[in-house]
Amino acid sequence: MQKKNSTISIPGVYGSGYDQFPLGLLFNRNIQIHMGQCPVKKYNEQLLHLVETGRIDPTKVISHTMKLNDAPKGYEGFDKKEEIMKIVLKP
Amino acid sequence: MKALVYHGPYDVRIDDKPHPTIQHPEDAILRITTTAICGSDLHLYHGTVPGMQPGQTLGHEFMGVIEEIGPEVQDVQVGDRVVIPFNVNCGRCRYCNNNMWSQCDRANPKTKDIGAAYGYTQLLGGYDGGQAEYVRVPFANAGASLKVPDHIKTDEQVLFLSDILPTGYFAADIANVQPGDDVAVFGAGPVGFFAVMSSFLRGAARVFSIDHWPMRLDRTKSLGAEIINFDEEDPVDRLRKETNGKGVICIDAVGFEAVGHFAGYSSHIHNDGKKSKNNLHHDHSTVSNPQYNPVNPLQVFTWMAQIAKKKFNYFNTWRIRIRL
Repeated sequence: MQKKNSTISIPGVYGSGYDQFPLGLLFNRNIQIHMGQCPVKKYNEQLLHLVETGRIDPTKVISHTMKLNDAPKGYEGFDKKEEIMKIVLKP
Repeated sequence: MKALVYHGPYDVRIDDKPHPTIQHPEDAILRITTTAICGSDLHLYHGTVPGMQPGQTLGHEFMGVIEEIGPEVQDVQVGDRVVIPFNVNCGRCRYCNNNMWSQCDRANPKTKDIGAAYGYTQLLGGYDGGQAEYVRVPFANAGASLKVPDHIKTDEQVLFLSDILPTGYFAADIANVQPGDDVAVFGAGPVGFFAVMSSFLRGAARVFSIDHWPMRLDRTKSLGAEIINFDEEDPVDRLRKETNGKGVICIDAVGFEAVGHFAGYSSHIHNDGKKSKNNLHHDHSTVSNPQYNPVNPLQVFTWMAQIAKKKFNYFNTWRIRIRL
């Protein structure tokens, strides 16, 4: 079993796609894949400093604000995507 | 108190639930002032994530004011205004001590195989989430440590430090974006938006944003991204042309970008690569070339495999998130 937060090494040759997954393309071009859930606390203090100094403005991502009571409607609309980027809820 | 509760696929409701209580000396109770719906919540909404049981409160992007603390909470006071990370972490295991907060060994009471998160299935700990009036914050010394400076007047300025802003930055970090790099971010949703922003913060020369929702592409364009609408052109051809064949660093901000997405993955794809019935709600019938079926994560992945820069660069399917 692979340890958490570690890297799998695949020196074995995959020449083509493997069950539709493009391992061959990745192998042939020495591409690596990193993935996982973000460890938020690694970044949040310094990102906060970028916000408080005005370097970045995260509010630009918001498209809708609604009451918590309306959240079920929010899910329904967000699922359709066209006009909704980000919904903020107010309890 | 009011809470947004999962009842089943496409069935979420505002229910009246008991006010959360201190269950452990390190707990705090947070009165939520602002929260949000995440793209990864839609996977729960679709009912495609294993381990989701009716009754759990959803929501992992939230902030508020500490209302009560347990006897072993020293670093947080009643009245503190804080933003809570979506990861639940103890703050003192080997993983937490090495900045691997998403893989905490203690926070998930169900298993040590993966870490824990708010409002995201039994698999990730079964914690109630923050689309509610109040939430219990376990391990509050670690979990409620991000205090909001007094001069930040509106919650919206800092709310996204709970997830999508760090997640977008994380994408650029694990892709090792360096000054002068050219980057392609697949997907212009909220995480893609912050991945574009973060790539520029790290010094990228050019950032391409690929999607087919014009409203979303307009937003990444406003950050300085060069947009590619895959309904209108082949992103691989365009990226090859724009970079004289050198390729780009690729970030996947499309798919299973949240906690639990790995689990939904297999259910989304049949062996023949066609859409599964579970996924019919994503109607991409407007895609001009049927060969490009973006609902199939493999298509995006294959695009990235074709255009990712050779050697020493990574591409990231993070949350693939599994994230949240």
